[in-house]
Amino acid sequence: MIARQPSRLAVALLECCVPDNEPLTGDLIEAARDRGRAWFWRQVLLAIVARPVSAWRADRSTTTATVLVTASLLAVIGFQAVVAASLVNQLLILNDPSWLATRGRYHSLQPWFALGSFAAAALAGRAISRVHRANRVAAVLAFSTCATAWAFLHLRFFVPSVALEPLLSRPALQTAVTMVFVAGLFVGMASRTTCAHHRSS
Amino acid sequence: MARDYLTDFELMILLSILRLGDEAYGVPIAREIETTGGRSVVVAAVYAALDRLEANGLVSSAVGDPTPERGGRAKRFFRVTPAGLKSVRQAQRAFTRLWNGVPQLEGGRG
Repeated sequence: MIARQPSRLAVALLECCVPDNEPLTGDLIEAARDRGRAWFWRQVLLAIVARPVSAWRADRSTTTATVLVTASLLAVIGFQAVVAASLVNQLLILNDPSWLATRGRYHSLQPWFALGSFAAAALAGRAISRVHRANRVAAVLAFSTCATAWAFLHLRFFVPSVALEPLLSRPALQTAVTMVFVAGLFVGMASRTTCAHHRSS
Repeated sequence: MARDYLTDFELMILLSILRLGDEAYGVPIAREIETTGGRSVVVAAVYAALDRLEANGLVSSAVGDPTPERGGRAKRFFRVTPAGLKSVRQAQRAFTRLWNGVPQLEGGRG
């Protein structure tokens, strides 16, 4: 029988979302040789879901506080990026009013954009973490630029224009989508730092 | 807050570790529960339960050497502690007392 290798993407996702459990990753890779990729993917997704649930069961007050603080942090950063993107949008409208007419042309594809945000941000976060070791200011700038650029792309292609364009168009929706992207950036950065830590220890 | 009783899944894990002896790590433990317990197992759930048992002092663990068939990842071997063995015996006694005197379960049919 040919031994089946698990999907590299699934292994990367597992190490990214469950970074401190090397034996679990090893066990799943070992068992996947007999059970196949579908089983491996199912186990990876359940491991990712089980992690916050078991953390919450182990220490409910701390986990609840961590979730609230993290959500607040993501909301603040996400909202800042949305405001910056909206200001850029206003500048472009002032420069050329026809810019507004073409906005939001892919509105129907917005859920797919939101889903893809996390994966794209995780990759960007891994790239930013490379810079982080050499120059922290550059890393912060890259992080802010990425979040603002993503918020602007969302506004440009997925948020339709209205008759009297306000400064912030659909701020709650925009902030929610940008929060997903910012969360992905953090996860990407954390995964690379954790891998580097594992290699050095 | 630590519980003073074992769930059925935790009891199955402790019994699997005792059956496996020195080869008790994630994959064989999950396989043992699947074959003897007749239920499908999520490996991450096994680890979550093992972490709880270790936090309660019922099992101890030690990390082994990395192996190529695991992509260079180490195994984590588990042992039942004396406190864990005591908990298993208590559960066995409690179940045995409950089993005795139940007419529907006598005769091995049904």
